[in-house]
Amino acid sequence: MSETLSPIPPDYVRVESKLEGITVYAPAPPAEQIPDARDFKCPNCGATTAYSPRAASVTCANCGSIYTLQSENVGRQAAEFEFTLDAVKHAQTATPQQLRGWGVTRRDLRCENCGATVSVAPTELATTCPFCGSNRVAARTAAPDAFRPRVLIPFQIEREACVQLARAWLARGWFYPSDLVHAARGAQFTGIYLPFWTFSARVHSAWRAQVGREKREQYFDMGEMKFKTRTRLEWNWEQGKISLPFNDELQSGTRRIDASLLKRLAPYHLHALVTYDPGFLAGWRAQSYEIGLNEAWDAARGNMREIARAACLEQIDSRHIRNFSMNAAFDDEAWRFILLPAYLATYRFAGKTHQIAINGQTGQVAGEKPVAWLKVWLAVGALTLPGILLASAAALLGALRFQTGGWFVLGLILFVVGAALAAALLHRATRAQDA
Amino acid sequence: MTNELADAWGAMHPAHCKNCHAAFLVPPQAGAPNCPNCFAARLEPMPALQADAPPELVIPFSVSDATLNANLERWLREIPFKPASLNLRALQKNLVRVFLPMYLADARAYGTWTSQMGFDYLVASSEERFDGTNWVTQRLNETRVRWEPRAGELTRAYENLPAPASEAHARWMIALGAADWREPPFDSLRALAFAPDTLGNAIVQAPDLAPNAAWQFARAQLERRAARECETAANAQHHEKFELRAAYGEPRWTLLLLPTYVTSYSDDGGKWIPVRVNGQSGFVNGIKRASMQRAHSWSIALGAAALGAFLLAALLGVAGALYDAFLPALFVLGVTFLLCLAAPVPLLLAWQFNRQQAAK
Ligand SMILES: [Zn+2]
Ligand SMILES: [Zn+2]
Ligand SMILES: [Zn+2]
Repeated sequence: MSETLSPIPPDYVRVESKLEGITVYAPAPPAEQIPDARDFKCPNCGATTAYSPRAASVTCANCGSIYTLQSENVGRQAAEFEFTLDAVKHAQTATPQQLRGWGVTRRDLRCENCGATVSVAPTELATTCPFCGSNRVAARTAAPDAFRPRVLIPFQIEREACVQLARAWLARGWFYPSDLVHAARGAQFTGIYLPFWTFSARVHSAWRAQVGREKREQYFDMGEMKFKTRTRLEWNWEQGKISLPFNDELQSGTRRIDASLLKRLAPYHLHALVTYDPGFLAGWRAQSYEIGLNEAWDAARGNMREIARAACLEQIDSRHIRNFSMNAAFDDEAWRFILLPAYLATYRFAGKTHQIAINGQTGQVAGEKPVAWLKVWLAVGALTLPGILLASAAALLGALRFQTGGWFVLGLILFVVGAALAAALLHRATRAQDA
Repeated sequence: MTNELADAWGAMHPAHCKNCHAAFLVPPQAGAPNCPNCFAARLEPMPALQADAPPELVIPFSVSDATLNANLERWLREIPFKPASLNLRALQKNLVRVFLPMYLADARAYGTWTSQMGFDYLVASSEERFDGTNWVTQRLNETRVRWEPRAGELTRAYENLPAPASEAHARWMIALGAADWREPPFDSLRALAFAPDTLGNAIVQAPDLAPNAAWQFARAQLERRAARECETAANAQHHEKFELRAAYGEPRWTLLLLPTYVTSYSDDGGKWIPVRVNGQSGFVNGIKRASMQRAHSWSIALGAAALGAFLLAALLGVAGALYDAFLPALFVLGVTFLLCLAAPVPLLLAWQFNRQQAAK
C-alpha cells in the first residue's frame, strides 16, 4: 500500500495550519515590487537624470545615456481592485502617516547629494533639491497596499512645448486683451502627476411612475348643443428596467486644482496607462491623493446614479410624469488609483494672477483668461444700437405725423435680434473668463 | 469474544432466497419467513455462511409503534386507487424487522495533498433608492470567494469510515432516506455493542462484500473527510479539486448492523412490492403503485351510470314529446354528458400517478 508521494511545489511556502497532523503550504506571494528609493544619478557620468517624454525613458542630459524603465503598457486592462471591506476600512482609518510614501503630512528629507534637509510639501512626493538640483524620488518605501499608484500615464508633452501651447490658447478668441499672448512668456510650467481614482460598476435600475398620456375625446357641450373634442390626460402606472455599465469613470483625488478646471483638461486616454516605475517620477513632481477612496467613490456613485436616473426617465415617452421612484443596485464595483500628467503654471496679467493647466498627455489647455470687457461692451453696443436708433427715429418722425409705422416695427425687430446676439455674447464672455 | 456471543450468533440459522440469492441469518423461532428482500419466495435453509463471526455493533430499533404507524399512514395517503393489499393493517401484518450489514473502517493515512481552497471575503456594495426627491443609500456587504491553490502533508487517523457490506448498499441507503448514499442515514454513535438480546427476533441480512472489496469505498470516504479537514487546516471555507496521494495503514474493520423494517404489498399482477422503514429515523420508502384494476372499475361504473342516464334522458324525451316538457330530458342529458366526461378520469389519474412514480 505505498504510492509515490508528490512533493510540495518548490515555490510554495509553509503557512499556518489550524489542524494537527496537517501542514499547509501556499504559493509564495509574488515579490511585491515596491519601488525603493532610487538615486536618479547617471551611472555613466554621475549627473542627475530625469524622465524624458520624448525618449520615453530616463535620460541623462549630460552624457546622453538612456535608461529604459521596468514598465509595460497595460491600458484599460490595468488591474482593478474590489471594494473589499478591508480596503474600505483601511481607506477610512488610514491616517496620512499610515499611507507611507503617499500621504505624509509633512516630513523632512535629507538630500543624499549635498546633505541639505528639505521640507517637503504635505502631499508632494517627488521633489528636486532646491540647493543642488539633485533628484530623489521621495517615495522611498511604499506601503504594500493598493493605495499606492500601480499605474500611470507618463508625460508625452515636453515641458518646452508648454509655452507655445499656452500662447496659442491665449491668442484664441477676440474678446481678450490683445497683449495677453505675451503673458505666456513669463509662465513657469511645473510638470506634476495628479492623483485620480477610476471606478467601474454595473448599475441595475428599476423604475416606477405614473405617466400621463394625452387622450382626445368627444363630448357634448350642453350649452352650445353640439359635439366637441377635448384632450385629457390619462394617468397610468408604468415601470421599466435598465442596466448600465460604467467603465473607468475618472474622479479627481486632488483638492488643489479646481474641479471645473480638471474637467476641461479631459479627456485622458487610459489606453496609455503603464505600470508604475519610480523612474517616471524622476525630475517630476507628484501629488498624493487628498480625496480618499470612500469620498471619491461616493461622488462617482452620485454621478452614476444620476446618469441611471436620466436613462430611466428617457424610457418614458411622455412629458407628464409623477410619483417617479427608482432604485440603483450596484454590482461588480471596482477601483484603481492612478497618476495623470499635467503641467501647472500661473501667469500674471495686469497685476492679477491667473491659473493655467495643460494636459500632459494631449496638450489640451485649460485655465483662466481675463476678458477685455471694454471690447465686449463695445460689441454689445454695436449690436443693439442700430435697432434703437431706427425705432427712435421712426417714433420721432411719427410724432411729426409722417407715416413711419413700418420703419418703427423694423427698428424694434432689429433691436430684438441685436439684443439676443448681445446676450449670447455676454454669456460666452462670462464663461470665457475662466475657459 | 465470549462464548455467549458466539452462541447467540450461532443459534441463528443461515437461510437464502432462491429467487434473489440474498443470504440471511434467521432466528430459530422465526420458521421459514418470506424473503424480506424480494418477497417472491420463502427462505430456505443453507449449509454455511461466509461471515461466521458475530457483528461488533448494532444500532437498536428506536421508532415507537405510534410513530411507525403514523409514518406508514402518511406514506399511504397520497396513493389513489390503492391495491386491495395496500392498507395500514396489511402493511403492519407483513412487517418484519431486518438488520442490514455495514462496515466501519478505521485507518491511518500518510501523504501529501493538493487542492483549490476557497476563502470567503466581504465586499462592500450599495443599493440606492430615489423616492422622487432624494436618494437614500443602503450599504450592503456581499460575500465572495477567492480561490487559491494550497498543498501540504497529512498524517492522520480516521475512524468509523462507513463502507458497504453488500452490493445493494447504495440502493438501501437511498431507500432509507440518505440524500447521498455515501452518508448513511443512521447515527452510528448510538450503536450498542452486540449482545445476545440486541437482535430481538429480527432477521439479519448477511454481508456479501468482503472488507477487501469495501476498502475502495472506505478510502473514498476517508478522502472526503481529509478534504474537509485540509479545508479547516487551511482556514478556508470551500474546497475543490482535492487530491490526496497517501499510503494507508492496515485498516481495522467493524461490522455494524442497521435496523430496518420491511413490509410489502402486492400490485394488480400479484407482484410483491417492498416498503422499507428506517428503524432509527422512521423514514418510509417504497414504490407507490395505484391499482389500474380499481381505477378501471370506477371508470366502468361511471360509464354505466352515463349509459343509464342516457336511457333516462331518452325516456324523458319521449314523455316530453307527449306532454310538451323537454326541460327534464335536457337536464338529464346534461348529467349524461358530465358522466361521459368523468368516466375516463380514474383511469387517467391512476395511469398518470404510476407514470410519475416510475419516473422517480
Ligand atoms: Zn550621464
Ligand atoms: Zn541637494
Ligand atoms: Zn428474495
